[in-house]
Amino acid sequence: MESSTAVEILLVEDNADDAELTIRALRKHHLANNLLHLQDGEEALNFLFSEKQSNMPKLILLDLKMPKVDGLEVLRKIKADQVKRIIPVVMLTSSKEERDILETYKLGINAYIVKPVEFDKFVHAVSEIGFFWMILNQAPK
Amino acid sequence: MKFYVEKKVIAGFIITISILISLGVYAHINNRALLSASREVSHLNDILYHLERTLALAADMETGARGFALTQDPALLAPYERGADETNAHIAYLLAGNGRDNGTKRRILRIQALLEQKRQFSASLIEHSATRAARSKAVLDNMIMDSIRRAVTSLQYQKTQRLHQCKSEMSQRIWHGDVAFISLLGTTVLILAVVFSAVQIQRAGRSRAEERAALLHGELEAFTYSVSHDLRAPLRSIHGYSQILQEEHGEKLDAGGRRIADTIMKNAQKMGRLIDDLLDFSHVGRSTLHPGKVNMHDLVEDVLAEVNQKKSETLQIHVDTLPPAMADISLIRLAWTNLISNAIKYSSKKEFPQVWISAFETGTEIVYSIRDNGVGFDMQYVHKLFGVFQRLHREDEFEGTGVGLALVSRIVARHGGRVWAEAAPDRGATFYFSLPHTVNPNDR
Repeated sequence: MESSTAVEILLVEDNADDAELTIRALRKHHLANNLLHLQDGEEALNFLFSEKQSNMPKLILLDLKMPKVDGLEVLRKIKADQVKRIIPVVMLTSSKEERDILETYKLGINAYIVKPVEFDKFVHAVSEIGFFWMILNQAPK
Repeated sequence: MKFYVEKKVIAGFIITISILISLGVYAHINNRALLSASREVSHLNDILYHLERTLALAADMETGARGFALTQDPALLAPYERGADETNAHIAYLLAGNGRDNGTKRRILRIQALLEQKRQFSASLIEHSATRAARSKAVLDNMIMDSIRRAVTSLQYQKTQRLHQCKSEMSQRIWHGDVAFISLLGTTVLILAVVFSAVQIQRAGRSRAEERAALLHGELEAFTYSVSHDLRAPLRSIHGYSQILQEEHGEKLDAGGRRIADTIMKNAQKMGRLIDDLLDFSHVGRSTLHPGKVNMHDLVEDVLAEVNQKKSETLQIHVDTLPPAMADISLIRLAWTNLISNAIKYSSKKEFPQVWISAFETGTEIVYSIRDNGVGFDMQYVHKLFGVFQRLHREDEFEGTGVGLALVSRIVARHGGRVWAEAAPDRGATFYFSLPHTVNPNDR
């Protein structure tokens, strides 16, 4: 594991291809320097809620459908935690289903992005997310 | 099968209704008979009472007359006189009450005649009480009295017999009435039980059918969800890696290799659109309608601004005043997006492409139309126009997935409206859809 204090973006994605494409898209805009990729919800929860409470990434990109612990569960745990709830969480998923969107919003998601099939649109979407949350948006210190 | 069941139900109803009616009619007739028997019983009791009184008074009359004849005590005349008067009254009453019964009437008249004889005899006994001759007639007097007693008791006997008959008929009628009443009650309870169990069975069947439908609906949800998520992910990889191949390793590919990578990307793109269109199509069928007043003019302008970004410079779009309608705005927006995109797409190869959007109202509905001067189509294929995956043009002429008009048709149908088209090859096409004034959401 990388130095935990350095992690700025936490990417939780079980599909290795999608993860690679996401990282590529962010790297194109030099946003992937302090990125940690974890492959499922369980790893994400271990990372966030380990004994080291100092793991506070600036942004979490979360996939919805994952084995073992899914995105909804991770989101629920993050937003229920007094400390971690301030971390912006962006859902990055293939699902356009209204009930998924509604459910994540009820749990306090900060943004919900449907991954486009076309790569240039995908790159565009991911880099927009990166720019907005890492550069444009003012987060609490 | 259904017809057979219905026939059985109708037959069952006819049988039970006839049973109920006959039981009711029988109970009514029985009741009338009971009533008339009870009237006769009271009438007979009446007759017996008056006969009894008549006999007693005749005896009083005799005793009074004989006593006076023996003792000349005027006090003894009172029972005689009362007897004479009251027997008359009783006989008159009996005659009035039995006017129609000839046998009884004859007997009563005979009793009346005997009583008259008796009275005359007693009167002469009182008048000539002192004479021996009068006393000697006492034997005759006894005979008359005996005749009266015989006539009265004989009639009493007859009436008592009849009274017994009537009473036994009454108790029989009461028993029959009880039986009819209990059968009526029993049949009604039976019918209610049968109807209740039939309703229960039907309800159980219906809830089973509902369960099955819900299960099927759930499976469909899971299916579309899976299509939405799992089919798009590999497509994204195909498209993404093809593009990376072109961008980062393009210099190692020759023209043929780059063309192949390009074709892979185009197909992945197309399949992505197909999946999105199918998801829209399925969504329109599943989502609940939220109708409200829609400013159709603003909506169309809005869609035009969105769709028209890549318009050719010569394209002209004319929009008439469009009346507002009651509709689900997000669905109707989807319909307009498809119709407007189609009109622009199919007229795009003209030198001066034109699109006209207008509307007219009838008593029950608003009809919106969109006309273009594009390639049109042959009316003999119009029936294929609104089917899913049906296309009237080749892919290399005009691209598309073949879902758009099926989607429009489904959206309009859900609003209770109709959709139709008119066209000729190379002379443009006009699409119409109607929305009823009052929303009548059609869940089919």
